[in-house]
Amino acid sequence: MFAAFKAKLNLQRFFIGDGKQQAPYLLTQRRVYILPTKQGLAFALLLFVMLLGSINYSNSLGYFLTFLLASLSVVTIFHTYNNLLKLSIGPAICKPVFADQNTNFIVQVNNLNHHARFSIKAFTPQHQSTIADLNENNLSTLSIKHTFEKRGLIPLPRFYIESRFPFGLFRAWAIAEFDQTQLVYPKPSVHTTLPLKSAGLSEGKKQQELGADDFKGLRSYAEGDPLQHIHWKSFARHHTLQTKEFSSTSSDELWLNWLETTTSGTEQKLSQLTRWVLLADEANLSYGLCLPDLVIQPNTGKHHLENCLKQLAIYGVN
Amino acid sequence: MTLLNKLQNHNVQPAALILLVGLLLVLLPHFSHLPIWLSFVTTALILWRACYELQLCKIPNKLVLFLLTIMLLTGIVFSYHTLIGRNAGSAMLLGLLCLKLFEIKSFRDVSIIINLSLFSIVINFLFNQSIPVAFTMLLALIFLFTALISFQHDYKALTKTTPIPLNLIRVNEKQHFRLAFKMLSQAVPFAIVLFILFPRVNGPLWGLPEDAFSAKTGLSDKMSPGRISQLSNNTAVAFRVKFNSAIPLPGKLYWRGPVMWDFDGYNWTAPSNERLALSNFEFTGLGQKTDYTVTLQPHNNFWIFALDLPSTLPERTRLSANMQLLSLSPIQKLKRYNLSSYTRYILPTYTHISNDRYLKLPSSTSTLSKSRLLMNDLTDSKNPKNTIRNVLKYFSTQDFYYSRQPPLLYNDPIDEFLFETKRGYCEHYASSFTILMRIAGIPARIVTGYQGGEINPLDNYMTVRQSDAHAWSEVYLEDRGWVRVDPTAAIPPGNIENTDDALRLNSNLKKPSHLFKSSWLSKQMKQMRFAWDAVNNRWNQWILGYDNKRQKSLFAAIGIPEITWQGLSQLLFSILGVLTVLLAFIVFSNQSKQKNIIQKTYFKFLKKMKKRGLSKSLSEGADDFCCRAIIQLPEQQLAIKHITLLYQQLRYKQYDEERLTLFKKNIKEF
Repeated sequence: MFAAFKAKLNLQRFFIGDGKQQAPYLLTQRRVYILPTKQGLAFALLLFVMLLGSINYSNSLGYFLTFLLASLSVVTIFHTYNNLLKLSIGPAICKPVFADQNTNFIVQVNNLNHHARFSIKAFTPQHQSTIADLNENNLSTLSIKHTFEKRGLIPLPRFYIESRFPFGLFRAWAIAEFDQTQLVYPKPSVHTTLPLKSAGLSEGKKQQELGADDFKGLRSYAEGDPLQHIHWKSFARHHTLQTKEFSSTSSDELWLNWLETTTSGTEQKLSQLTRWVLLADEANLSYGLCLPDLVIQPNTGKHHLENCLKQLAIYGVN
Repeated sequence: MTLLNKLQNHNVQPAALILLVGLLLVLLPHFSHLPIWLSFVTTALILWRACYELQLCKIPNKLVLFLLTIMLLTGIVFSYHTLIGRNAGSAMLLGLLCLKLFEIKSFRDVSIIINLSLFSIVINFLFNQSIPVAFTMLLALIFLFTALISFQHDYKALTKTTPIPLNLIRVNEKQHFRLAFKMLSQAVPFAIVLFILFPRVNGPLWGLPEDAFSAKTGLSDKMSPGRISQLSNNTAVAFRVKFNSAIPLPGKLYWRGPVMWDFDGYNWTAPSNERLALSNFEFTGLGQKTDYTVTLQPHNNFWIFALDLPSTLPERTRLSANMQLLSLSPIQKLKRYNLSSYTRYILPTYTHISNDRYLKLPSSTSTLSKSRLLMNDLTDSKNPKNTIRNVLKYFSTQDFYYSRQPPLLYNDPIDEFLFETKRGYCEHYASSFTILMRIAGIPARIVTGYQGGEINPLDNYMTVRQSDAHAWSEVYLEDRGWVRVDPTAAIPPGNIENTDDALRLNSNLKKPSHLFKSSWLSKQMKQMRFAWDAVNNRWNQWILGYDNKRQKSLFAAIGIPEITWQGLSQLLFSILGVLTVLLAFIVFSNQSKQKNIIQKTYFKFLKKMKKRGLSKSLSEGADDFCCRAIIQLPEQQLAIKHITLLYQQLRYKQYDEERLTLFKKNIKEF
């Protein structure tokens, strides 16, 4: 029993919360903290001065006003606290993101109370907070800004939920950390174009020039398109670059090969490959991925893209 | 675009407008003591900001703001000759507060404005603690806190928005008002408990600024013609009296104030060293002693107004040589005194003091020639009493008028009054009578104070107002000592120009009938004035005058005669603890409003059924009760079935407004 009590008194909880938790996570009395804000401290100072003044001048209404405001700040503790209490948060809805980009992760919140909650802020320590109101008896989401620095299957960061409503005199907050992971793709490198020719796979087959067979149609120019495929006639007419697209049956398979990357270092190579995958997908090509320990057969489509990106994300991560 | 359209426009943020209204309410009572120019400037600044909010004009830039600040401070220095002290300090605070309105960028700025506004409210209470001001300030509080909520909720209202808003619920400002009101009403019980139980300290903690209690209306220690008549229209309360014994006759209600005997031809004064000479009680009281409690409004002087003549000395007071009761410190807040007086008395005669000072006439020989001639005729050198009688008779027969607007007097006020204008206020009569007495060789002096008072039938308190201020004479008779003579009372009732004065001055005389024909309306007005006065008195007695004595007497009344400081704190904290638990219960209870309404409405139905002899037991469900009711009241079975069905649908199936109104209507008609 003593141990349980000691666990309750653990001061660390105040700063890091309960650690990783299963979602949904209900904000109980133990999980919501409250302290005055700077404004609250200034208000307390004001009250003190007012009390001294009232005593000095024996001013009855001054006394009453001071007491009323002091009582009001007690009342606001309860209201601010209640703004977070019994809020059920989680799980997070984790869509894969790219590393080193300003992204949001979405956390589901369920307001079980019969009253709306106002000005609920959510944030991770290094980012600006977002603020939302939650209707009564309503399931909604909070979007939390965060930048994932590393690729891979990253545990969701610890985040804070905070409210200063209604008067801004007190700040109630809760710390949440979910037992969830976020898939983070490598950061796509900026300056790179698709390899035109692919040093083949095991057979060493040289890939033919990209889709030189039959004219299929026009599409808007994308970075990396070969110059000779640009449809100059339409450029003269519309001033937008269009690329002639050709369909080919066998020769349009593009291999994105680890060995063909122009950079050194695993992360840089992965970055480049990520960009290639994205470019190839944009160009609607059929592409395959060739990593030192893995080969993905050429294909197209969203699933293929996600699969490739995922493999790049978790490459070398155990 | 009309104003209304703009208000409905989403670009207009109501938060700032609510703040401005709140600030204007805070400023309103301040206007009575601020210089006129500052009242205009502060109002203009608020309106400017409001116009900006309504997108009618621009906001001043930093340079303009800086110049405005300099001009404001210069203006205050010119008006007050200082920047510190209560008056100048509050003027500066209010001016700067209004300038700060143009710098609302972050929530911190809003918070600063609100805090300063709250502080201005307290300063306001130093000037005025009346009921209307208190309620205006309460209203201002609601506005200020609503503004705080609005700013806290709606981040778009601030230009420096840090957080990124997502799906904000668009809230009607009414809801913010409701929340502010709800929170304030939840705070009120705490505040009341604190107000009653918080240990009160006597006296100031440190010295007060010199101008802390200036500019109070009322009597002064100088009397010149016109001084008291200034007060004749001032209905402000001077003090209130609660009689613990029989109320003396109206003709005996002379409340003694400053006594004066030095006359320079214009002003009556009492040399200050003489005023402080002390006396002991050496007079013989006749008849019944009168016991009473005086609640004195602050007037920043030492005087305590007691009935002629006080026979007891309350704590921290003393009696001057002219039998005036004096406090040891200036009366700067509401004070209560328990006093007793004899309205009939004989003062001792004395031999060892020379009466020269009471016989002194203005040194200028050119004046008073006609008066001297007159007194040649009226003086009875053997019996001073006859001389007095003759002079009073002269006043009553020679067509003297009692007037609130007497003609101005110039070089020789006494002669001009007695023989030319013949119209005057009590100070004219008292001063000329005193001079005439001195010419006749009878020592005489002037007593100022109040005369009369009005009993409020609602709470039996007597109210004495500034308009009751009065001056009369005292003459020294060798066999009786100082005797009061009120020359004003000699004026025939018909010669009193104002009916109120006639009623007041002649309340002990037979009243002329025409003065009493008051209309129904005036009676009602009087009744209302009594009621308002009684409320004000309660306010004064229990709220403004709540001090540690009142606190002690309150506990004595509920059976705790000697409450200590520790006892008070223990009691305070235990009650506050209970209230906190209650508050937590109220705030954290997650009752649905809708469920509540449904339940309440259904209870109304059950009540109606009870009247018909059917009551639902606790264990009984709505359905079972319905079955039982139908058997008992078959003629109403349709209505009962319908109500029960609606109740169940509302409560357990789905809530909708239409069904609820139908439910309510059915039960109402049932």
